[in-house]
Amino acid sequence: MSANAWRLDSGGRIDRTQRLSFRFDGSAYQGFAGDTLASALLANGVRIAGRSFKLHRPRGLFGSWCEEPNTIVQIGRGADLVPNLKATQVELFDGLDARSVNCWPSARLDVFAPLQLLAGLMPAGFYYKTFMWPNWHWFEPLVRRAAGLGVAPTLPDPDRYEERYEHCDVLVIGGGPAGLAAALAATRAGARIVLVDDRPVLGGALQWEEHIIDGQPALHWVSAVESELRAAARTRVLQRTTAFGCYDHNLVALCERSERTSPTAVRERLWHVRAAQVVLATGAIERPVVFPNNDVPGVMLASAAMNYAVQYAVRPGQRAVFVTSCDSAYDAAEALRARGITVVAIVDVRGEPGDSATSAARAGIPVMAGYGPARVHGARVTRGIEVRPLEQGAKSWRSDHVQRLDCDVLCVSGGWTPSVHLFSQVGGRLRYAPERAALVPAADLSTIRCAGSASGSFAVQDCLSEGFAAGREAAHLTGAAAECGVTPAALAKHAGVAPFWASPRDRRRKAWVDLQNDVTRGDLELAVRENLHSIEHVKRYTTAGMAVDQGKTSNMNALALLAELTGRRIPDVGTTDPRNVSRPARWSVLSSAAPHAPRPLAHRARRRVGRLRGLEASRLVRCARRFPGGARQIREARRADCGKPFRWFAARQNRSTRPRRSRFSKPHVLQQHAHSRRGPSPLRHHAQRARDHY
Amino acid sequence: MLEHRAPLDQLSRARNTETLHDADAGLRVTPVTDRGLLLLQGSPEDAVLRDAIGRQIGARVPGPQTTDIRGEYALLWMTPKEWLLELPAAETSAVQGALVARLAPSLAAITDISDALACFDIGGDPAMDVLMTGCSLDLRPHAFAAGRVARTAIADVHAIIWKPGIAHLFRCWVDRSFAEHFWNWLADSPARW
Amino acid sequence: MLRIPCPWCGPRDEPEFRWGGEVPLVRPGPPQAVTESAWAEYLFMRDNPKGLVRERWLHTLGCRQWFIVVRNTATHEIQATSALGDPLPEIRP
Ligand SMILES: [Zn+2]
Repeated sequence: MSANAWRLDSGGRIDRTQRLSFRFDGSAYQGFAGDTLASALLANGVRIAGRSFKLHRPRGLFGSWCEEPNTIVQIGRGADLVPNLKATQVELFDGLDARSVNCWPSARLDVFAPLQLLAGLMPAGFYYKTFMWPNWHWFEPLVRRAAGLGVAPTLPDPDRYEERYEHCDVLVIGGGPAGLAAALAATRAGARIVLVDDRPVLGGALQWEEHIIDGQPALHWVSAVESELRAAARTRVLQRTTAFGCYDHNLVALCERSERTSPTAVRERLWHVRAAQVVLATGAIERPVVFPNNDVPGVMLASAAMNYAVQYAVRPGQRAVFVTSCDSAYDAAEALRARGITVVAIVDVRGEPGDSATSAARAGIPVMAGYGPARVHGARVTRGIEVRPLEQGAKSWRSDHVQRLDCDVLCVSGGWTPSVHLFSQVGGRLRYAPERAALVPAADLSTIRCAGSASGSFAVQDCLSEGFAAGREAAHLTGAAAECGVTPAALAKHAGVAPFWASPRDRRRKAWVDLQNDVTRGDLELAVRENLHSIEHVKRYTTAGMAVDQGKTSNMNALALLAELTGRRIPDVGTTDPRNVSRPARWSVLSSAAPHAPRPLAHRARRRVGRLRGLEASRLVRCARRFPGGARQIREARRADCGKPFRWFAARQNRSTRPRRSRFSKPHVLQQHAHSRRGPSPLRHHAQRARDHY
Repeated sequence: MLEHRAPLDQLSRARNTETLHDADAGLRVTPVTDRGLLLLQGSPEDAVLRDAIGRQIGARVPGPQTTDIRGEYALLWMTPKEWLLELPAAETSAVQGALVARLAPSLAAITDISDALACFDIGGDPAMDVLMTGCSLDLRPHAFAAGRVARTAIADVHAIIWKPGIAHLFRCWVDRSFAEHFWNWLADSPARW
Repeated sequence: MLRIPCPWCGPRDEPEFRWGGEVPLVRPGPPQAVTESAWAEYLFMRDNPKGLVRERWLHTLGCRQWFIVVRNTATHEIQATSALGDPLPEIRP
């Protein structure tokens, strides 16, 4: 099929006059300036762009930004090699040389592909049970080779990395509608602000969703706001900058990527921003639905399909079917239809979808209300989907009547999950909001507030008003109280959603929960059968949500399925804690050292992260030096010290004179807690002293 | 009398230490060799000390984080009981002698530490940005105004930084053994901004 | 990384400081008269409460002064600081 079949003739925010050549898995392709590697691959008809982590199943593009679980690539060669990037976040440049990871020789033809035939031998936790005899280390090299991601570069990194300290009144994280509104209000109020956005262009979803804001198209509003912000002397706008960690006392760590204007320019910069007030406008990530074969290339998030079609002028497919439980997918369907892509049907699991469905039907898009996805047809590419009528409540099938819809792209939307990683990192509590089918921030912290989709308000008009109010309040709290003007208003859109996590169980077929780590619904069931009920245990046993994407698309579904399997309500299951460095950051930028700094990179990176977290660098270093042999020597020292083998709880009891209470009840969490505790706890200090003594 | 060795001697042998001037960025880094340092230790309530300072250089004992600048003399607050007197290097011994005489009735002490620290002037538009790549202090003009002084860490070494009052100019004192490291770090900085 | 308001130098980042333990901590004496258990108590036993605690910090890289910080060990909120010699700050629950 020619490339033209996938690239739309007009539209998109790409520069068609600038052709860029690139290579993927050895083949040469062409794209345009403004493309990401992902959109360029899609525009060249590349459907299998990666292989799954464990079973080497073929995988295609699933998301369009940081949520992408499948298409992990490494770019460059030699000293320039960068492993484990998401193709969706790589801006296309001329001469880009990308390879898929975890497969050989290419994603399309992978010699490890037969591994998926052995899927039955590799259930959840199989590695805890197999390869243990006679010695795990005999198998380790082979297993590591078969399962793994990119290859680390062996040559020294030739690039420059820097760090920078910054202070501001209001730090706004996210450049979508809520973030822009917040930055606008805070700027007008007269505060010194920093606006951070991780995309190359401001606007967030406004780049591909169609809205009318203050009577003008959304993109006009975005550029008007952008010029107002850039003109303000006290406002700093950082683009291509990811906030990856939120630490004590409003310290936020950012990673800024440069545009690489010259080879000697700084490649990435680590910002330590100390803000009086933080507004988190980090948006939300669309959630897939769990049903059989939902990992076949061609299944993608509805928002991603819309993003590719509108922003990059790429057809995600020629015939699309939508599976949804929320209203936002109707906008995506309409956007695809308007660009000449056949929308076969919108399969809405809700019995009464409401106004959106009425208007879609009026526009000529068939809506199948009360149907659910039964299975995807196709192995290397989506060929169609079987749908079946659902019972009220969507817990079981209503009849055996199965209808097949032919399509080559299946757009799924199970609602939205607020991106609250940073909020949770600083101890923000979440609550389950059933009417939004999402975990949302329970209450703002005194200096950190969430706005827009990040707080569970998914409609654009709410994003704008919440963002504006958050920016104004934050600025007022820092003493900047000038008049902010009128709140931007948008034509209201529906944002209704019903909780729907998975189709009724099909025992014969695998339904994928975590695409990146190959975790199926069956794995979760196995974990529950083996009596693992805590979300923390299930997560570790099945590895759901433990991939490098930290479960951006999978955590909520895993949580809901676990609740269902164990007969609990979602709030009773609880959540797992997101780790800091919530988006991967390179060791080079974490160590961000001057070229003549003497220590090894990994050491400097570890020290820097430790410092951010408040673990005193000198102590970590001392510990490592004293015990070059690692844990064994520590244990021996401990034995000499306490007269018994080191056990965390034993040491704890020995040391304490009166019972301690803790908000954590599980020993392993407790232990983790003790290590990750920021700041100098007397307990840790004491342990350290004992260690130093020996 | 011990032989006087300027703190930047070693540095100047190792490298060219003429003013580092990056015309594009407008950054100007100058090693300062003509300033001396006297460390005063005493109680801020000590009338003899206050009187001696007032009579000798016309300055008042500055409070926390501040300086008192009188012509060529600058008195910098260091700790609640220590101050640094920055003065022309040529006058150091004379002023020290005079102050020793004046302070005789009190417990205050005065020490010549000119050889211990090396001094750099960092000026130009990007001076603040360059320093904030290695210093966690808030150096923005409204937070670190003219006359402010701080002891802190810059580029991972212990430093005294103060703002003499001229726009976009910071003066840094670092231990002489770190002078070369600090110079290298500054010399490397135009590439950063 | 905490931001600790030094009573002399204003708010500074945590790496500039050294932690000095809970106050009050009274060294038993005279040395000949101290029992081993009292000595062990002094050396090794700490209350380590969850919540507000008064502790000593040293501003190593700044003014080199010891001072008192009221810190919440659970949230790291710093409620008050005071210079040594001033009255101990109240713990407001
Ligand atoms: Zn201090």
